Amino acid sequence: MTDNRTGTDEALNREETKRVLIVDDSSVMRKMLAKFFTESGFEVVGLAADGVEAIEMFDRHHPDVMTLDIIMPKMRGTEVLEKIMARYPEATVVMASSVSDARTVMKCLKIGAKQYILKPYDQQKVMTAIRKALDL
Amino acid sequence: MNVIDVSLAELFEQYKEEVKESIETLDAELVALEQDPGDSEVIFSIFRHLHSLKGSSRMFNVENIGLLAHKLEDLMQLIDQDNSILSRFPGIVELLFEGNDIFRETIARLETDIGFVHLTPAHTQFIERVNRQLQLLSRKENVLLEKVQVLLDELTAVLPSLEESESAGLVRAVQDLTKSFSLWAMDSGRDEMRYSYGGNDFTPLIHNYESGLAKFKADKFTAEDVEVFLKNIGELVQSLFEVAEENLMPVLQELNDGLDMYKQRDLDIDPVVIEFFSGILMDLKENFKVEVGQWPTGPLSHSPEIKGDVEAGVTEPVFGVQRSQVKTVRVDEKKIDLFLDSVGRLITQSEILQHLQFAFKQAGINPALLRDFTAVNRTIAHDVLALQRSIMEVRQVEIDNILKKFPRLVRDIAHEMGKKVELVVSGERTPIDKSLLDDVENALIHIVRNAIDHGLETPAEREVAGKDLRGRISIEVEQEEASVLIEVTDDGRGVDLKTVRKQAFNRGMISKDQYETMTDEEAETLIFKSGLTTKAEATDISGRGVGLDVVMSNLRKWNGRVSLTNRPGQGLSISLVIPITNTLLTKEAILLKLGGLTFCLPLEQIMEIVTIPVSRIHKHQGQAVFQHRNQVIGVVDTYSMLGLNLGKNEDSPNQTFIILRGKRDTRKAVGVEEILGQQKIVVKEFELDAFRRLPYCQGLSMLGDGRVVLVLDADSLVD
Repeated sequence: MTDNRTGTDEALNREETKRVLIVDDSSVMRKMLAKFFTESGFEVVGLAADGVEAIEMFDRHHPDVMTLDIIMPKMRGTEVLEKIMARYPEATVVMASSVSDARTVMKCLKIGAKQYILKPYDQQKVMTAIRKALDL
Repeated sequence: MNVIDVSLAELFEQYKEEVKESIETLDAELVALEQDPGDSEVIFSIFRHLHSLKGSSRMFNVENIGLLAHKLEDLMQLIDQDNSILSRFPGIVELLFEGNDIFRETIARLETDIGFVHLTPAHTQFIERVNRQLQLLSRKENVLLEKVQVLLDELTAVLPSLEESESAGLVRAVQDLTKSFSLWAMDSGRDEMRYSYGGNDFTPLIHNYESGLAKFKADKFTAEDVEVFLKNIGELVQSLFEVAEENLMPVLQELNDGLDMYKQRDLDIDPVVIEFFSGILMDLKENFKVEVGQWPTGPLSHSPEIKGDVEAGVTEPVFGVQRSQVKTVRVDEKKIDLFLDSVGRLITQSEILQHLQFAFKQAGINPALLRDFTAVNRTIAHDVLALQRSIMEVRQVEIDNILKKFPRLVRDIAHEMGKKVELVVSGERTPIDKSLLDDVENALIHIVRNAIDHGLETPAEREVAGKDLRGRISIEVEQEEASVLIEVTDDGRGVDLKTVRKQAFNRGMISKDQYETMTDEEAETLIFKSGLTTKAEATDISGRGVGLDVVMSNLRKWNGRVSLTNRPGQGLSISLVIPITNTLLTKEAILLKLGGLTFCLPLEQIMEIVTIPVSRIHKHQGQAVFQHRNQVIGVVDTYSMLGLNLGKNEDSPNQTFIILRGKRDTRKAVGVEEILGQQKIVVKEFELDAFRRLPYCQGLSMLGDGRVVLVLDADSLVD
């Protein structure tokens, strides 16, 4: 970010900047995703470490997009997805998990996840999927 | 939160901390699991930690922890599904503890920088153990696996008889092989299978499906390929829906949904998509009627007979075999041969895998996958080799089987000839391959007869020569590294080279010129030639002039060598050297192109490969010849013999020839268009009558890439 921006620019920017909620039970993975997003110009509005926290944060922040891990304590990602989609049918959720079982993948997509990113991923892979999910 | 400033190196350090924490948690949870194996919360938590360990380790390219965690995660998943597993297999908790210790050790030794972390033998070994456990727990049904299972059952059936020969190595090899198979059996589709459903042949559609998947897996596809793939699947779905019965419907529906979902979401072709389509394919195949092509699976179908004939033994799959349970059983030699045949096929399959590995590498497949594949491949190649070696061992018998006949034989011959002979034998316990027995026995009988008849003098002659009245013949057998050395020595008169020369000249075998200039060494080789006997009259026993050349040509098929040491007046030694490790199953062969087609030619029949200018080829009495190493070598007209069209590079200024050695040491050259390489092949003799009369070929072989090629026979090409 540069220092010589005017207030108007900033406001405009904020309007365009997509807000993302990151859900993963591994703190390293959360930080890694956060790094990818901030470097690509997204605003990270929250980092959730389990399913329950994920729903709370979603309710609070109404992010433009959420990346969602599946194998987590308290509540599995699939269940989180079901709840979020029931409450916010327009939500953009991208699964980011190392569950490669194709049936789980299909299930998530059917519930309403827009994309499914498989670990290990890199910045490009994540951002391509996110942009597709957001129709950017 | 200022995450943007976190560098990858810092994240890596955090990753290591997180792994250490997970290890501690896992330790505690494993203790809890041991105390209460039914605690599903603990089970899920262990699963989750392993899962997370897998995910983050892969992100940082710490492949060893990633793979290990992945395997243990699979194990936990099965336990999650079926709680009784832990009580049925109490060793699993210990296995998990061990895995956690390996994590601890690995992470402690991890370098600070981020790089690829490779598997060590300790990791591989552990992973293999987990695989074995996984295999015990989940038997996924799949066509190829079933085939492998049949093969393994076959192996199991003969296993007891292998025990009889105390071949612990083989038992281990079979067990190792089982393991390796389980690793790849799931994925390798086989071309020669035919798939039908409801009376309709779906083979082409399934093959299209498979080839599309293969492209994805090799990471070598274009947008157009994706389109073609989807179109092919669309076609398959459509034609299947028309005939599908109830049980196939869910799979079809799923495939259809998958197609829709793929198109809707514009998913990338990544491992998940590939897995989805692979999984569906597997499900589809389960519903299909599958037939396997005629070749090379023939003898597999005999397996029930084998099992039936074995008097007692192990019917459990190999996984469960425990050495202590195995009883000694006699098995017909034919069955051992059948088994040998199976091993031959395994070798071919292992070659196919090698080829695939190469192809994957060329295609630039995902490096992690390639590494896994390469590791598995290496194990398989190693196991198959061990199996091959062991089965050869099983076939070995002591050479005494032959030698014990000789005291009587020598006595009888000596008696008839009016000679006195003492026979000395040593090394009778040397092992020799069963298949060699007959040829070695015949050779020895020949040599010993000759020694008594021609070599040893009569007692009267010996007295004059100042020798012991009793002649002495010794047969010494020795194992020299990879060969068996058999030496037959007599203390008779040796060979009078003058007589040999004269005889050869009288019979027109050599020219006057040769007669005069021939060296002693050259004259000695005449002894091996057919039609020559130094005896004035042939006796009943020897001297019919079918002498040593027969011995030689019989032994040559085993890559044996015959040599002789002549001590005129003192005696003669004839040595046979027969390789034992040159296994009879595989042959090194040259792949070559003739008339645009690929052929194999076993290396053992090739003297030399030369490329000469076309200008050096001349016509001599209507035959093409060229001079090479002071020898005129005739060119075999392979094109008209095999009915081939001339190859392309007729205009080339040079021509490559393979110089072959025929049965009678004649040399001829075969012109080839291209030498494609060298490969280990298993020669499969023709079984169908139509092929039996195919001239100049000794059989078929399957190459690494699955192509079936003809194996040329140098003997018939030359003579």
